[in-house]
Amino acid sequence: METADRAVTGSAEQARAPRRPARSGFFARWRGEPLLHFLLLGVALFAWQRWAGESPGAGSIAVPADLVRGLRREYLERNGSLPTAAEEEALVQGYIDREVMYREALALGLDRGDLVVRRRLIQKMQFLLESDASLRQPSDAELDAYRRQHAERYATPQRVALRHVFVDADRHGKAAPRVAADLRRRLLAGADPADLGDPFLRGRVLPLRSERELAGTFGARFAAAVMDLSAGEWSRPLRSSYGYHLVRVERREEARAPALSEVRTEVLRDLRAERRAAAERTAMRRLREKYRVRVESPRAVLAEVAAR
Amino acid sequence: MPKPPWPFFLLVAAMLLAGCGDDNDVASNPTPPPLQHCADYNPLRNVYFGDLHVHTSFSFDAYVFDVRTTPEQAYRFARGEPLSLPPLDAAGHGTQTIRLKRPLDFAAVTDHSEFLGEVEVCTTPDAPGYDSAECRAFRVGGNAGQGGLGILTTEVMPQRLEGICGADGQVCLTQAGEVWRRIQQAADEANDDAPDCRFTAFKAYEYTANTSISTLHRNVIFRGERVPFPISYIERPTPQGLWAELKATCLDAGDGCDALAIPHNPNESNGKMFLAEYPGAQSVDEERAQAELRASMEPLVEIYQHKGDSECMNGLSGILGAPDELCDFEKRRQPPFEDCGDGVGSGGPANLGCLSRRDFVRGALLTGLEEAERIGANPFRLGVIASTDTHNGTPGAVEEDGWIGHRGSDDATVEARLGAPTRRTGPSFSPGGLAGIWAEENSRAGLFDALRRREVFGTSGPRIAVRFFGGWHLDGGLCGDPAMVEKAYDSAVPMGAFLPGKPAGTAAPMFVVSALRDPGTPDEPGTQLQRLQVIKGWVENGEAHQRVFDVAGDPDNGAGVDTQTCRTEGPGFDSLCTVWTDPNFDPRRHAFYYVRVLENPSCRWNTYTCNSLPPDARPEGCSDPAVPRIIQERAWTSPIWYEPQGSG
Repeated sequence: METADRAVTGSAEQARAPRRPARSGFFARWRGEPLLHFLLLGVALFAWQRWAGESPGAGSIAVPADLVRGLRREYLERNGSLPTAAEEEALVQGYIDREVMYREALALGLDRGDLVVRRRLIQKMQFLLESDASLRQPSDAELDAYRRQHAERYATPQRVALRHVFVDADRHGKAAPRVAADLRRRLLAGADPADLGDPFLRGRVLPLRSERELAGTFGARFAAAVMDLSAGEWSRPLRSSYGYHLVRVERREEARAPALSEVRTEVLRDLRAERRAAAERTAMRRLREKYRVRVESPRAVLAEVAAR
Repeated sequence: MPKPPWPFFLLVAAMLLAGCGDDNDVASNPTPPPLQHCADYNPLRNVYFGDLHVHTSFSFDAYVFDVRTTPEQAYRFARGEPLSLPPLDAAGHGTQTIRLKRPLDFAAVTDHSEFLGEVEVCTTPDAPGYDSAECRAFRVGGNAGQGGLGILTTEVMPQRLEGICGADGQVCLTQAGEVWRRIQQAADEANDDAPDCRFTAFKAYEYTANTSISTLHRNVIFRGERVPFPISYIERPTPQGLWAELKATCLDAGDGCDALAIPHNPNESNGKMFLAEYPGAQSVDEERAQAELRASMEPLVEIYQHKGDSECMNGLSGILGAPDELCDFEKRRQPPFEDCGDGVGSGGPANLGCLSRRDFVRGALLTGLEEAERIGANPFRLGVIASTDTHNGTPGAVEEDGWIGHRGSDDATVEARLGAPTRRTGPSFSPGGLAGIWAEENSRAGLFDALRRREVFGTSGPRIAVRFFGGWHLDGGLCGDPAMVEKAYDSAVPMGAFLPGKPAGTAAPMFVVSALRDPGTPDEPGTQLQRLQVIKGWVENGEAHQRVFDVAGDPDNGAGVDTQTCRTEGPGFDSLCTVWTDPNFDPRRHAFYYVRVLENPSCRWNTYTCNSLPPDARPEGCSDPAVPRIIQERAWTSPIWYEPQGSG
């Protein structure tokens, strides 16, 4: 069917080509012979298809069983039930219509100059160029090497978890240092810190925090002092932006390069991104070698930018 | 839970299969978030500071002013990395670099959803439409470039420009999908999941309605990863349309999607943003349904940003009570202006048309109470945040000292910022503020849920921490109780909530109000606090009332600032706390209470800028007495509401 359709269209074009009057009797004799026309046309079409890189079967549309299964699945997703035989037939016919439209659109060159198609193709090419690198799963050794190479990126800063008893400088005024000293004595004597001191809006028990995070809560001077405390002991009164604090570092986590198992996801993501970029650069270089590139007067372009 | 029937599995399997090899989804959503707590998890809630209103080069009105910041760069900036900005040099690179002294805890890039595709088409050579007259006009840049697209957001029945988008607009919508995917990808990459949770990046956009030239803008913030296509004014030219579609495509989608919309700049809405209107409603029941929908979609309002303050304004009709002198803060407009009364006007974005009491949060909250009394549902249950609305892609750049403007080349120069005012430049603009959130942990879910329950506040820039609880039986000694926060959560409700029913035997609601000043940075210690205020609004005999109570601190502490050196002088407070009882409580009246925390006076941005220039190089704004040199920075909490029993 399809071939015949193409043939009909083709013959109209073919008929227009030899407009000039025939000069030899040979041609004149065969002008009225449809069978020869058909044969010639077939040869021409075949040659054109070969030249255009299409297989002779491009004019036929196959609807394999897998595809039908796919259509049924889509239908199921949308409607929650499988299509009836009539519905399935409609799905298949709809598919054929769309395929024909698609091929005809390509034949007419409708894909050219279309921003969306262009984008999509460029993107697919990008994936293709990147795919070698991203398909291969990096080994643990490779991941670990990458982690060590970029140690600063994955390092966790020193962090402390703390409990503190707050003495509000505004509330106690000049007496605040004395109140703090008194509270410290009680703490050292074993009093429960939960019962002592003034309330502190941003929490009296803080989970692991870095110096920078503590500075954002209490001020920089306090944060620096806390990082120097030894764990498990009540500190001297430390001045913050708000008053005095008796601090007990509950847990300290030294700055460290985490093991691969802890940062595996990030390392994998970063290494893959780097490999993808590298693969694309290499492939791009290789592909570009196929083209002669000429950029017109870059000076003029720069001047235009500068003028703006 | 009943065992799902087998077709359910079939369906799931089919969906999984459909997902395989489907390359439409390549860029989105790599892995689901792990189901574990963040390292900073605290059941008593931590405070986080961030910015929920950020534009990048994907916004048409940023691109035309040479802003080339991408969402990725904006998020990196929020996390503390440097960024270069216009003016551009000959090679197209920014010529000034800025960096946050303190990184943010969270941010949302909120580019205008309206023209995501148009900007892309008009800046991509080869695109169909690239050579259209409309795109050429856009690329001219500046006002002219912005106007061609921007005008559509003022039309009642807007349509996409055919020259750019094709007859059916499809080109632009398809492109918008691509851009939206890049925005999402930037958010997903910047978002730091458990266990560390150092930064949260929300997927978000701005819905930009300027209907009849009044600002009706909303930022749409999503809770999670799965999000629908961004809704724009062009396709849905009414806020009601936005809510309905957001509800249908997200909240009711059954895929875990959740979102909320945050209106901003009611101060430019000529009475329209918080008009109590119920289009098409035929009965009180239908009005109530609309009010409930609105309240559920819009639980918050942005009270302050670079286009000024929207808290309150003296001199407008419809609210009884003594003037509140502290409303005179970062106002885009000064008297004389027309009062809209109960009506509406037009021209707000250009500083034209009437002003309404409803253009300010206090008036909107009061209108909400009136509606609660009238129909039994309050459409304006508004919690409060602040943000920047930067168009430079610089979330959280709120420092007064060294402010370099908010919109690319438009106000990149001192002359633009301090010369004669224009529609978008001049001394009445400012760096904007921050959103404060009380949440258990710094994750999308943690922060979003706090936004939803309104346990949030806004600041004019400083990182002031403020807690506000209300209840009926509070211990008067809470401010001296080390377990104050635990006990407050046990016996009271936090900011953003409704007071529980009044128990018999209680006289009036009690509140714990407590604040810590900004701890500052090593170079800048932060400014001390001056006082805490509770602002009460209520409705009585059909009339709206306001009253401001000074509840802690000292309004007459005599603190000041030397405008030559910007050194602050005089006493202040590092922290303030009080337990306060409403002295005029009437259990029959709807009421709200919110807190305003005030710092001592400090230098406004223009004073730093002017001081840094030689006297003969100072623009007119440096000597104009109408331009304030001093600012009293502040924080505003979300309200706590009281509803009489048996109502609503």
